[in-house]
Amino acid sequence: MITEADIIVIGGGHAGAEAAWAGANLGARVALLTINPDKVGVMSCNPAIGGLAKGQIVREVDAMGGLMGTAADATGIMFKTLNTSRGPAVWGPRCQSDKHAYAEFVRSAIASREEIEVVAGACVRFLIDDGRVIGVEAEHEGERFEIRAGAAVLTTGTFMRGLLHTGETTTPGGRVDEAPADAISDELRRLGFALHRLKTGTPPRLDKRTIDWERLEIQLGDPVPTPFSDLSDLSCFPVLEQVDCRITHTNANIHEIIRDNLHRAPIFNGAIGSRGPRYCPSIEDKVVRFADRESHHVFLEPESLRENSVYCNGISTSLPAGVQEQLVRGMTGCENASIMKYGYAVEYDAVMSHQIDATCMTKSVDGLFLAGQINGTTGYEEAAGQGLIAGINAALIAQGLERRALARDEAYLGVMMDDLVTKTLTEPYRMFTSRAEHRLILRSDNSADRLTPIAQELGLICDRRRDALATRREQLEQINATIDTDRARQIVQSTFTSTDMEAMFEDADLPSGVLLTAMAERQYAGYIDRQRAEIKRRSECERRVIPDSFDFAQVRGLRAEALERLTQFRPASIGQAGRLEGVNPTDITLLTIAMKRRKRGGEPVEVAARRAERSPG
Amino acid sequence: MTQVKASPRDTIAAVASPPGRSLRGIIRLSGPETSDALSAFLHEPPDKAGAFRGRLNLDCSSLPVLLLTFTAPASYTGEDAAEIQLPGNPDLLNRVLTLLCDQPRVRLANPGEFTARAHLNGKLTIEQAEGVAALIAAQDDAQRRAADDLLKGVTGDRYRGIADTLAQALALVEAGIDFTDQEDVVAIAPDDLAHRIESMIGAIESILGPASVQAPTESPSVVLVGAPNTGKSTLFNALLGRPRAIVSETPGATRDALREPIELSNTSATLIDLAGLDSALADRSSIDAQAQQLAKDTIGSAQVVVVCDPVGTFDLASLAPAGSITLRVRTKADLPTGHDDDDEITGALRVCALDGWNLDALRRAIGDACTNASGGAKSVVLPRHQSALTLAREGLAEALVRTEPSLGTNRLADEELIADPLRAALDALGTITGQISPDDVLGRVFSSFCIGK
Repeated sequence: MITEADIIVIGGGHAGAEAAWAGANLGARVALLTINPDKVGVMSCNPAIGGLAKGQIVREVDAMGGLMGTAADATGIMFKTLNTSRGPAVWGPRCQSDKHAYAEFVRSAIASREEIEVVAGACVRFLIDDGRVIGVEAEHEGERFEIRAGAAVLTTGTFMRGLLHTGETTTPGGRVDEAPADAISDELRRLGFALHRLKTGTPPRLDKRTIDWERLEIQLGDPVPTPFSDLSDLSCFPVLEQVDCRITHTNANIHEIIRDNLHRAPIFNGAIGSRGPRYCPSIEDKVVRFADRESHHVFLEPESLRENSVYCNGISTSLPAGVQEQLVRGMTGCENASIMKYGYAVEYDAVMSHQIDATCMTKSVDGLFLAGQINGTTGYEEAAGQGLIAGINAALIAQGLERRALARDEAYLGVMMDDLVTKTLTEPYRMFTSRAEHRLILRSDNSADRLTPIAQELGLICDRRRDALATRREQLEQINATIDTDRARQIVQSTFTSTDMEAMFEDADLPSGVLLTAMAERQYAGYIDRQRAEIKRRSECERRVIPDSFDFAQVRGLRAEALERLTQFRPASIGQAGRLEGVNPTDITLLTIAMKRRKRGGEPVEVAARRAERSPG
Repeated sequence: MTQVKASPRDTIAAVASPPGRSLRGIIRLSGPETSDALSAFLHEPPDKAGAFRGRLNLDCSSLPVLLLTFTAPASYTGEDAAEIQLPGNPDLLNRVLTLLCDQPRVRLANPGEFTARAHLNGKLTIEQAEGVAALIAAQDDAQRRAADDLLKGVTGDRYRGIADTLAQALALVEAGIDFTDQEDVVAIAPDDLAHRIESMIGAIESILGPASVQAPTESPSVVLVGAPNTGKSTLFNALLGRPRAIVSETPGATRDALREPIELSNTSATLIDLAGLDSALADRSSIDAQAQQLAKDTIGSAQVVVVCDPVGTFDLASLAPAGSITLRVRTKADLPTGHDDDDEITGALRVCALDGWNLDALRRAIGDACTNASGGAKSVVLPRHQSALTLAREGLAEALVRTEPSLGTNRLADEELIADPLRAALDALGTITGQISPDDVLGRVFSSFCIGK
């Protein structure tokens, strides 16, 4: 049994797996501590990866050497890029994966790394010395043990004091038939963290053999599927057999049944007080909030090639089992459907995200990183993105190196981290393209251009990826040179489509991703210039760092609300401070003046002393 | 006097009553040292907020004063503050002010500093603070009304109204981008969006007013019009206070009007003499049509037309364009005419440029006319607001150009390129109204549509 590692990753979901992977990529020895090693990489909810804004995140994780893109490519059973009728900046690559194949892929990838050792056990206590994590104490089958490490990444998902609701039945658990992790919740409270309670839900799974499949409207994947990863080999893609989905819908009868049983739905009878996401409401929520609608679409999505489980996308519910059966059987094509697994709502503890910084490290305990749903986000992709950031930075701090955060203008990952450290979440956070003010720059097609160089500098990526980027750059130059010199064939931008572009370069044998980037950069040229100018204008605020030791109470004239916010969030830069709700431009001016004055006057003696104490060596 | 670095921690003092002698003078104090500063030369300084009669020790005499004291945060500035009311003698006020500023950590207030502190301490919004400044600076009724609107928050409400409409429009566009996989989301139709954008542009333009269309830096032009030998040139020189540029001795050789900048009491302007063109103008039979047209154009673009006529019939007054202000001047007023009594009817000002008689009155009249001609409207919108509104209008106009259906559909094309300038416009308005974040926009989407599979 491992007793010492560079970093400990607690939890083996999408955040944990990615954190362990990134740590290993940086050469760190990783202990992956999880309650049940057989559940590493499991898709708890919809077995889909990507989508609007989420697809961009998967591409970014991939560009930094992450695991999710290759896992999805290897296990996808239906690929469909969303929003292709709009511009390339808002395309959303998405796939449905075989959930069993996906989890197996992740487990075997983890197992293939000699840097990673998977350890069965639940974390019960952090070992902390002088404000810094030095290891964890874990428990497995009644036995306690310690693992020492320079940093720890905590990814609890829905397991912290997880409570499952199906009608009047409540069961403690992180997922069905999996025990919750309660001790860690108390441990975080003991360390002084403020927690809050969030809620999410999942729909029932049906047996495909009991659905009148052929009768229902069909939904097909893209005729030519696009992989997520730059490393995926197009000659053997897609890897698995492709399937189709079907569409059915709810109706007035079903809505009546739901209304009659609202008193048995935990979110309406008071059993659940916590907030769920507005963009992912349960069917009972939809029926109440949009009472005038007589029908809602339900997408029937196969979960695996190996079994007959079908995911009912659109009817997430926590109604009692009997009501779920009535509900399902009221839908066209599902008259005889049998439910393999009932829908449920799950409540869980999360850490209020103002307590971490943009590298996922907690502000109060050095070396302790949080990633995924514990930070109040939802979604595999958001979790994987944080796992990547946390894993990288945990490895960096364990190796005594400077940490690296991503900025809002570098990546969706940067937007997400900045949002987490400047907002008070009132519902689980998911990414939307409208959250990214520079979305015309942060496209899925150019993720490698944006992030692979950063990853390369950090030492995260392999030679294959480095070479792929170099080739890509040459090809881009070649395309641009061709277009610029061939004036006669210049086409008006607004009618210049990827098809035109491909036709223009059909003999050149260039990858479609490179052509897409060349096209996007032409289409958005003026806008991109303007956004870059805006980024430059703001960069001074982003660069102006607020020292850890800065005392906001010393800023004269700050309004009480602004002072409270600044003290609570402890923004890392003037830019971040300006994005806090309740902090206005005048407050920022006062803050800037106070910082200048402080700089002139030098640091207060006691602060300098504290800093000296903390610095290593 | 040594310049002491101003600090927001200082206590500040200033005379708050108008300059000159008056029945009552007011000195205002604000800041943490207010009560210490007062106690230095007051018998029995008050220890609480309220109105008090007291006596001020001044050198060896003692002066009755009325004292109003306020404790933080219940004051205009939100700080400890006081007002000393005393006889309105400028010397006396100065002596008291000097004494106050001799107290430790008390200094003379910078212009607008009381209001700035009120804003910093959350007592006034930035618009209200700007309203105070505008009210103090207001020179005419239109400006005063605008300043008053700022103070009452009416202006802020108007801006917020536009920002709200804009946020809603952006939400509908964003819904068509981020939630296209949602059954319930019906993307906004191009003509609906165009209609909304047009009405926002209209609202912004009605605030900015027509003045914003003019280049605001250009000074108003004042053109002297009259038949030859009506004394225009003499008046031109007299108004300038210096000899004008030398004109060719050959009449009609100069085809250009003479333009000279002139400083008036409250504004500056460009004074124009149609020197070489007046004959072309007066003599309708002149074949020099080009010169005639040039003269007409010059008059047509002038804000103020001064019609000079020693006789008092003002035949040429009809030349003045509709939007301009016409001043009638009876030049050569030293010479008697048969129409002296008509001056009251025509509203003409009698001026003698040779001895300077009534020249100052004419300067004032021209100055007022310039101020009125510039519409007052220009200064109704504060510069900061004007630039924000202009930016917002630009963003909206850019979005409007993009608001077209994609080929063969009734669906917007390039939503992300419409959202970009709309967001820029919203951010520009946000500098006045407070920023509307992407979260707020998303919130509008969630409340408008049933989102979520």
